[in-house]
Amino acid sequence: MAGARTGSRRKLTARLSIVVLTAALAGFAGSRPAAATVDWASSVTASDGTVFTVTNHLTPAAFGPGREWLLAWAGPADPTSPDFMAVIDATKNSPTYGEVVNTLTVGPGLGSEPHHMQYVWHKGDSIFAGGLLSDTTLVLDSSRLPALSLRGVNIASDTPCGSAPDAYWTLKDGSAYATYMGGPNVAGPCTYTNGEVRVGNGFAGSPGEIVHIGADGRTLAEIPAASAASEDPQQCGSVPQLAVATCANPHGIAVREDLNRIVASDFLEPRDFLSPQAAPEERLTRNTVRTFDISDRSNVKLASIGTLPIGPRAALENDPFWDESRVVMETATTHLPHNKGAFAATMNGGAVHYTPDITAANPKWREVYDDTAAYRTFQPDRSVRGGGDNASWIFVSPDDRFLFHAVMGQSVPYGAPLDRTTGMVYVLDIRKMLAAGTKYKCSIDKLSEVFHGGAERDCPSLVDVLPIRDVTSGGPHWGTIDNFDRRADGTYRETKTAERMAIANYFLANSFGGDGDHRVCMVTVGRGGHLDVDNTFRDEHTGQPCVSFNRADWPHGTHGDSRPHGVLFAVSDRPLRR
Amino acid sequence: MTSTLQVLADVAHSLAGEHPGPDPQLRPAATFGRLLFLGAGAATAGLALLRPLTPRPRRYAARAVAALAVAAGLATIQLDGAPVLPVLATVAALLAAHLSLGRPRLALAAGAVAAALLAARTTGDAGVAGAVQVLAAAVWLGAAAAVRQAGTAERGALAARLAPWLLPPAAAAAAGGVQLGPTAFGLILIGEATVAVVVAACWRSTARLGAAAVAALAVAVGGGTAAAAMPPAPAPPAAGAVAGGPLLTQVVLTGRRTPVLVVPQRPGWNLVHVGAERAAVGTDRDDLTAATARPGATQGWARIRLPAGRSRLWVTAGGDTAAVEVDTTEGAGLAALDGPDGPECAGAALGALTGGATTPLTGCPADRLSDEDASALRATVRFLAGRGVRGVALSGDASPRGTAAAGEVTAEATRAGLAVERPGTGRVPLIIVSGWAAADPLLRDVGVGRTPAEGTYLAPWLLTTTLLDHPAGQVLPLRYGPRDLNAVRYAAELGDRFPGEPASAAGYASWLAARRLTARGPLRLYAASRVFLPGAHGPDPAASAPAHAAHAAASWFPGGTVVAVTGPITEPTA
Repeated sequence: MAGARTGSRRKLTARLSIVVLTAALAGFAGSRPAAATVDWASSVTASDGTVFTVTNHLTPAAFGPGREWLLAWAGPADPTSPDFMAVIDATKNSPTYGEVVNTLTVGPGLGSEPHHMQYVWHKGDSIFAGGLLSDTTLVLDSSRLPALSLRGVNIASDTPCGSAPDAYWTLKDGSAYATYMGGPNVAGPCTYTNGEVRVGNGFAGSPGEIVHIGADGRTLAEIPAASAASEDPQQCGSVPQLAVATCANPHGIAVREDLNRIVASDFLEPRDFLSPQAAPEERLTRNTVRTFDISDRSNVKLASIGTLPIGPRAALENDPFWDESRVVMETATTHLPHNKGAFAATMNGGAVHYTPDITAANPKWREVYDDTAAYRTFQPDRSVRGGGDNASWIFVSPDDRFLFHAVMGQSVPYGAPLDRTTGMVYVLDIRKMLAAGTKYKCSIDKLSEVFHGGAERDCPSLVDVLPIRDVTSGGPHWGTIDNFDRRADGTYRETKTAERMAIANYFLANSFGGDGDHRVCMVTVGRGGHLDVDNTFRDEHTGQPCVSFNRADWPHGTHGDSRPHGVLFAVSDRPLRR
Repeated sequence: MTSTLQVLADVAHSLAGEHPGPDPQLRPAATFGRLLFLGAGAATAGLALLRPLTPRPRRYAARAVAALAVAAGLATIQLDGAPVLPVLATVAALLAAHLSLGRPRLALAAGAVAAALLAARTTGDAGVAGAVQVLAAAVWLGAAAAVRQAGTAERGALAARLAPWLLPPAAAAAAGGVQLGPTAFGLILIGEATVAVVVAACWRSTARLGAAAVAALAVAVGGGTAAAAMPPAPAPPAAGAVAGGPLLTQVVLTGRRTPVLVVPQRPGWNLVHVGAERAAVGTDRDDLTAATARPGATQGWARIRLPAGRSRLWVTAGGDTAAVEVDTTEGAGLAALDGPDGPECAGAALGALTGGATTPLTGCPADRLSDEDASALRATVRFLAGRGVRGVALSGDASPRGTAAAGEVTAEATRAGLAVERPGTGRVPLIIVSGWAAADPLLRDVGVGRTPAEGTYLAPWLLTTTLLDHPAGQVLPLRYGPRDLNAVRYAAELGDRFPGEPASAAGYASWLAARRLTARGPLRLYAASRVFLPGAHGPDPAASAPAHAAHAAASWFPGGTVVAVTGPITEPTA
């Protein structure tokens, strides 16, 4: 049954793949195969002639009625093993709830460092899965979940003006905008799709860019994230220094198609920050958030560059590296038509910032919550603060009631041992602040507000904190909300009420700043926003709550411990209604 | 005496499955001195250690043993080249232990300190087991001496009281023996432990002193102490090693296995590469050469002249010394090994060894410019011309390869209408065709802005971690991807054989040849860069060093990436 298809033409390959997959699933529907896995492959030829192949390894649990799945994009600890997408049964009350039912292995090439997918998935969407170190994006057809097939691939040479892809946001037309943190493939001038030119210092340097990727994986547009004019050279360093200073290293991304805006947060210059060749410089860490005007989808333009403010906790920090504005990892927009605001979270700063209108010519950002206040609810001696807490995933619930935020845990050099600075997920009620529109008053500008939350009446209020104990050097970095509701008849519909989320405990291993215990946990969200670990979502091998990616055997073989980064809920096509 | 000890040492090494070979520097007198130091010292420390349980020993006998220990300890400084301060500290502790015999509690403390310091004086491959041996010997010899010196009336009661204290050292010795496995020393440790248990049983339950058992224990302790006193055995040659061919072996230094590479292992000058910090090597144990860093390479390197035939190479690091047996044959040295391109050439030899080849090294990569590399350089120039640059800067060196490569680049640039400048003249792409040594400081200068350049374009042979780590916008023309399966396997195997040694283009080429494989895909340009994100370690590069990763050594660029950024590029003919 195992098979592989290679072809020189993308369409032909895709069609052949569909035929084979349909035959495979039809042949096994209704009766579980005796074999351990059913393997099935699909291939696509990249723009440089390289044939990329993904291979499904479907276990018996993958078969049966269509249902809900949790995808986890993972890399192995063993460098000679392939990267893979794990498909986990995420159907509550399913007999195989929490089982890895399929692993989709990827080749050629090893060690791509599987990173992010899109933030949420909707019916019909392809899945965009990026390799941080391979500078590659795979576009996967999700119409036959839990099996996946390859629709397209975007390789480094398809994006000459950017490198180190990070995050994706899918659009209604099936395409996606992606952030590329790093600079052009080669140093020097690079011409973007709209004809503009920026000079960069090379791969993984600066400036990064936004890339519009089609549903077939092709580059539709490379969009400059850097302005033509120099930004503040004191804030925006590069190595080697660029003549036109730029802080453009976009990482997090959120899109409001109805408002014609992209919001992207700047992280740091990935090549040079923490290089053993140079002392760490805070000017390589970014404190800016960019908006882009997508009114003309074929000619997206940089609309604004906003700088996050330094908050009152900075006075307590021993290094500017830890102030509230530093390393803007993630951003999240509101969703409802009457709300136009967006949030930004700082990885080193440990703070949440907000702007009420991303359509403004120059959105003004203000700190509205410090992670310190959340830590104080469960740290016995209340000594842990937000500085250097590696704050990560942030997302607004589809009904705009809650803001969810995952925090990995405070940095080792901050002084506290890892078992005391363990991570968390917390929930803020943001309704009052959103209701106040542009007249909101909330501002964390006093030290007491760092520890107790904002004093203004419309400030976000802490609903719940779920500590997630991970005593490795990493912790809960990424998350995704379950945006689907299962009806009594077994069908699914999208919902605006987030009742579950999944959290993955892994950041970046090897020489990077933090690893993690490699667990993926399911978290229930109560009606009032209360969080609980779903203890019925258990590892099929250990029987413990949460699915551990530290295991010997996978559907694709004995490849050992693995590292799940991006996670995403998705539903089989047949039971999912629009 | 000398010949007897020589024979004993050879027998001990043979029992351990080792290959002593001719050893002009075994120094039997030093070994004998070390044996006396450890044996008499253990007895002295043991008498003090057990003093709270025993009557004061007879003064003259104890004094004689202590004097013997002190004299032997001081002699090891001269005979054995032992470090002065640690030996003096041990001798002082032994004296303090002896002088405190009149005050049991003080004697206990002084005896413990003396025993610990003495345990640290064991040498060579004995490692932790050697220290266990000395500590156990202190307890056993102290107990035996105390019982032997006790009056007839009280001897039985004293033996019964001391019997339980023989058992913890026995357990430790047995554990050490099991850990060492079926070696001579391991068997001795287990034998000692068994005898000690028998003696304890006699003393405890039968009220018989078991004179035969005590004698057996004394013999066993003497044997064990002798084993711990033995000089380190030379590291066995690597499996498949060939006389006159590059040698890769491992020795134990500071408790960890340390790789040692000897290239070409021929009479005359050789390049020795040690996988340890602050190491020194040489054929004369008293005159070692520091293994120092080389630009573009990692860990320690030293030029060592080897005689023809079999000889011994001494390696030290962290205060430990080990020996490596080398076997040269007649043959010529390699000029490139003796110059700045030595580490690259050694890397090629290491790649071949890792791939399983054991043939003598016949040349170095810097000896000539290959046709493939020449074509890659021409293609790089054409690529830059296609980007519309006005000119390029060029950096070469005086090696045959560097000279030829500079000629290729210059000729192709001329054909493409590009000016060729010296590095730093202007902000243009910088093409580097030198070896590792010259490339390393130049890339560092580009990274810090001292040498302006619009990116750096490295010759294919400059693909090695150290040169990629500078933030200089490196691009290389390659016919393989470092993330390809074979390339990853090579890096993983290299990491196993020589931990911490970076993968290199030369090493990979040799590894492929050894495996009868090829990696000749279409030529593409690859960008190489560190990709380093903050996290739990914060702004502390040292805390985030690649060494923290379990498989960092298995990567071509730990903490970074090498990615194809073009499709196949056109290769113009010369």
